[in-house]
Amino acid sequence: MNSQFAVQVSGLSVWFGAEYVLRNLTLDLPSNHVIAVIGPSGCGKSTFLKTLNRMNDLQDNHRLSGSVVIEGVNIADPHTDVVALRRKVGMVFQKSNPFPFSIYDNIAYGPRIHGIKERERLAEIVEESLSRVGLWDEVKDRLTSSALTLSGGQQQRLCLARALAVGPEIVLLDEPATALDPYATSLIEELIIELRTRYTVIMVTHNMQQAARVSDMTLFLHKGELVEFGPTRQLFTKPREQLTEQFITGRTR
Amino acid sequence: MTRYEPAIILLLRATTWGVALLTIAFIIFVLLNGANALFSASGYSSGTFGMPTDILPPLLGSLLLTITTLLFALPIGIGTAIWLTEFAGQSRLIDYLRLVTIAFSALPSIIYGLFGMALFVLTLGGGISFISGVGTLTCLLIPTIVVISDEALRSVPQGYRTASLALGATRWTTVRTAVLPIALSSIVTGAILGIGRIIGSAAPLMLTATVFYSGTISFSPFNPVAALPVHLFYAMGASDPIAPSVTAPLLLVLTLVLYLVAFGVRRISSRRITANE
Amino acid sequence: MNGREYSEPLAKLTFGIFAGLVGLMITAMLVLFVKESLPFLTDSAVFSLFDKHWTPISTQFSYYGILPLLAGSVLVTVTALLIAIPLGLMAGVYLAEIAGTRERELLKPTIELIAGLPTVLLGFAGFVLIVPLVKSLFGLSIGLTALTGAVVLAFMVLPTIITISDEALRAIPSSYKHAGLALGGGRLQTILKVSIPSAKRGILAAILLGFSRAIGETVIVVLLTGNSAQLSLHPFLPVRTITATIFGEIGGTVVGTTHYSALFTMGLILFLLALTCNTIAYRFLNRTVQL
Repeated sequence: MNSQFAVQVSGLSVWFGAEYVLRNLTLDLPSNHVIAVIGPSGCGKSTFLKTLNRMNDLQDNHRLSGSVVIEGVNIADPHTDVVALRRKVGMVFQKSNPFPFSIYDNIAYGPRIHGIKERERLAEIVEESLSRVGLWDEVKDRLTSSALTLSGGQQQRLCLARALAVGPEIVLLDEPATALDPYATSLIEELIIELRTRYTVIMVTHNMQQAARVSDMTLFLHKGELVEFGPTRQLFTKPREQLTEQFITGRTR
Repeated sequence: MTRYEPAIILLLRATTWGVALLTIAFIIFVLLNGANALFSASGYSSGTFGMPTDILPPLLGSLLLTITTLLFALPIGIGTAIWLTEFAGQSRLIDYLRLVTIAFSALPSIIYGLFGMALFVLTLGGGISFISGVGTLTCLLIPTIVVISDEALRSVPQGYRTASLALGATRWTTVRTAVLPIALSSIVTGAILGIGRIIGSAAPLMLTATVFYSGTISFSPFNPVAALPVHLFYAMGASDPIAPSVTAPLLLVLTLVLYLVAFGVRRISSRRITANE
Repeated sequence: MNGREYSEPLAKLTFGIFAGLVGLMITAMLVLFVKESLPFLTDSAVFSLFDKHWTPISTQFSYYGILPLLAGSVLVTVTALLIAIPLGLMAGVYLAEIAGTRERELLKPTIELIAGLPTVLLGFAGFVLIVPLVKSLFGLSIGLTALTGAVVLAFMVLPTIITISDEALRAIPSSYKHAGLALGGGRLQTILKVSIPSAKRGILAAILLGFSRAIGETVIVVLLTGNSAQLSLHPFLPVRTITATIFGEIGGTVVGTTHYSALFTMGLILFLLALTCNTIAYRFLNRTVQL
């Protein structure tokens, strides 16, 4: 990463129809960090995440204002090439959604649609991506079998590998371990910590302990507003805001 | 009521089985009828491939009409469905368009026949010809293709589209690589059933493409053409004792083959899906 | 990467054009039927619509009475439905609620097959089998009657009624049925009092679609119902339906004449009738079947 901040947000507001979901957010997300986004249900965590790769565009009545600068480009601009943006900012969803293709074809999907055709290069990328998520040894002998035959945890790691195969600089995780059992969850969490060296990871989670274990910085949103953003350790032990303290100790509202 | 329950259930069962068996009986009857006629040597000339020469023009005509119609109806129908599901977004207007298309797909074929006649035969000056027939059949088939393709596309889980778009694919690439391959077998099945409808249509063709009992094959698309169901109809009208007995089974066999192929495709693809999960 | 820049808008445009063509076709159909009917509708002959005679090629005054044709269509269709609806609903209930999976897998495709059969074939079998049967059974001079057509029409329409009512019943959440059973109702009682009322709309849709198919059918009625445009509602007499009239006479008319236009008016009536039935039916189905 060449710049200090992966994402620089300034005055970001998002509406869905008449609903004012994100209210005037301003913050800078440092590169090569794991940043957790926490907050009560409906506070706009997922909306914030999906703004960073413009996936909110898929919903009707979506409107945004303000600026979000990634690699020197304001991606909140309506003329942004969202397709190119999504190569730089990858996403893993809450419910794993591997394609009903083979494991190999799932990983190769992204590179292929971006123009990589040579079999050797693709095979390299597949191996590299699967290794980064710790799946290579488990599946190297059955790359041609359907991705749907993998377990839930494996599928989610596959989706991560699929996102990494495209070569993003920022990886967005939307509650990646919610649907997984504790063991699979711990595997994912280990992975997230490792990813920090190569990527900037922004992760939405409703699990406070997970946020505390895994992230370097934490962003706390409440009703679409930025309440507090700081180093995880500090936010969880000595929160500056009362709202934050109420939330993390469970005494919300 | 519980006392009569076994009897009522028996009645229901008998009715259902009755309908199914009636269908089988119908098929057997038509086939037997044909077998009878084929083996009787009552002065029916034997032509190419051992079939009476009279059957060849209608058979070829039906096949050519069908294939040419598909060439137009499939792209337009599937393309329209793609536009509806993938590019047009969600709105009440789109829902109404869907409803209208479904309603049109179930209209009586004679309506399409009249339309084709007025449009292709008269206004556009095509006359009673192969191309007027193709035009009419295409109009007849398109709504059906749109409906089945639309259903097939909509049944592809949204998660695949989301995943593909998040990887940086455009809408069209997503459709091409992550949606269509999955919807393809349903579209194929539906198209095959659509073919069945085309092959069996008599009324539209009689208004736009065929003339009474023309036994010669002419290869110009601007001339009338023969077709199996029409041939059967004319033969019955002319009180021909033999021709119907040959035409009918042939038409039936073609329909059954199409049906079985569609059934097979559906079976294979559903087996593949359940094996993956 | 330039190819990518063009393929997306190009694809959107191409498919949009196709969709536009289809929209154009649908509009053109409606416009054309209205246009071709106008000469008749604006002619004084239109007042003979409610006459009891259909004699368009009379040497004296041409009567374009729709009543005998309408009576023919209605008689044949309603008789067919009288046969097909009870049988169809019974089979639909059986398939949806009682038949086991294996039985269903066997019966359903077989029954669905009927819908795929060319109507000429049904007409052929009807001609060879039903016509003599009706003739001898009821001691008539000709076997080509409204009843003959209705019987074969009923067979043609059965799969529609069966399949759609089956779908409608299966779309009912099983929680309703469980509630009914838990309250102590027997199986049939639950079907009668819970399932069928809940599936009311879908079943009505099945009937509407059956009606639409039957009244629009041409080949079967042309072959089997004789050709007599007399106003009568007697099932043992030959009749002439709207479809048979259009089909039989359009070839002999000259474009632009009153007769031609009158036939298109018949067509327009049929068009609007079928369109209305279909739209209502599919509207119902979207509410009950597609979740």
